[in-house]
Amino acid sequence: MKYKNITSQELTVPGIGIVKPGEIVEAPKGFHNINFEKVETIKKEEVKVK
Amino acid sequence: MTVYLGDKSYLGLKVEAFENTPITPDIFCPLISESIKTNINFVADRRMKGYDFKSDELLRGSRKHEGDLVVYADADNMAHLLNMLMAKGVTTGGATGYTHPFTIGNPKSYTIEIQKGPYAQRYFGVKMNTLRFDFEEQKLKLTANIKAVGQFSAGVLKEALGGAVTSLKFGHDYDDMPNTGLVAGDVICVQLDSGSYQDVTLTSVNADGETVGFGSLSITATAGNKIYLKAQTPSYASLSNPLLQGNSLIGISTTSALADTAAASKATATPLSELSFVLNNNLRDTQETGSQSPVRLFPQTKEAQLTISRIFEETSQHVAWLNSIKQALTMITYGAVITGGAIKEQFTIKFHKIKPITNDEANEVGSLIFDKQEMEALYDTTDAKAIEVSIVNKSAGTVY
Repeated sequence: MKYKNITSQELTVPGIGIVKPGEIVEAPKGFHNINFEKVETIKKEEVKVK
Repeated sequence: MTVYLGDKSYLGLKVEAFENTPITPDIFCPLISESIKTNINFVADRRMKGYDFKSDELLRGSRKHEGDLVVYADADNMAHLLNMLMAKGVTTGGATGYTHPFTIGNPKSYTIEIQKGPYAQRYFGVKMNTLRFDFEEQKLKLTANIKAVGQFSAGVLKEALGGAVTSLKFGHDYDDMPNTGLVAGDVICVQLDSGSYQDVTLTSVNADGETVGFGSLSITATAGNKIYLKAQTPSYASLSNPLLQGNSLIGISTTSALADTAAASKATATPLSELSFVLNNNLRDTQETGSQSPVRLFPQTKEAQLTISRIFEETSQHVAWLNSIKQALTMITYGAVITGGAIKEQFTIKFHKIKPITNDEANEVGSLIFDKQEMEALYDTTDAKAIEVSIVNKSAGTVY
């Protein structure tokens, strides 16, 4: 699951490392931190060309 | 079996926007130890019921939430602890050094969280009862005795859940308002009938005191299944190093202004072998109607005591004790230079009037003689204050 640092500060997170403001990182299962927002994965729909 | 290492715990904290209203902590602070407990004050029911054994049940009493947090003081975490103890004035400065003044007065309330394995133990309405300052192997150590108006950690499901659901209710065994302490955005873990736990992100904490709402989830769970507040993974924003005894200068003189001058340079500062002090709010947490926990916490008479040890060189401290002579003490402890400028982190505490209660000059074989003093901090009528504190750090005043 991907999470975005929603603060204006660089954050050090155990198990992840240093995350810059606005940076999106892959977090381990069970990750939960109020300073991060879950980023929904958007699946690109394939456009079928007839 | 799953086991949990205490080292992975954290202290999370945040000043409450509204006093005693929980808020999700987002500032994390390295913790040395903690001993905060909820005491439900259970007592055995000793009413006569016809049994030949002491009791068949426990009865609840007045709840208390209190204990110690122990941390090394850095310029950032220290300002939060002082904000729970004293009244913060107007912050000045900028990103290369904010100055936060603190005076004797009513503190702000905080929500704090401490991780206990998978769950977070949350206390809200937290204020400081006493704050002890000690130097331990150079590092300034703070022992904060705190009290809280409530806690949330875990509960049970009141009613069974099945299929797609958008809310659940907490059982009332612990409290009449069992969802108190939760905040929209929190993640709780609900035990499913399968034995595993489902993460649930709250979208509402309802005013009925028992219901919480969330986006539609398929949950099959029986009444009585466990629910706990999910512990966060901590995140640290450029941690400052602990303040050190060696970077402290102490000025002692007849007035606070002269003590400030003395503390301004190593040449005029007084070297102390030992300095510790405790600031005490005598926080009132007496029971009132409205909750089994304290409804509100009030600082009462403020006081402070100091313990000082210095090498005996002449009789001035002996005379100060015998004749109860006023002294003033200023301690300035410097930290690192704040990024982007030349300003150093700084902790300053001024005791405007102190007097020795005891002054021991023990003779011991093979040892120098010391002045070992227990001091009382007093209100200085000339300066119209007893204690003032200021902290210079990199954190804007809005976080306090």
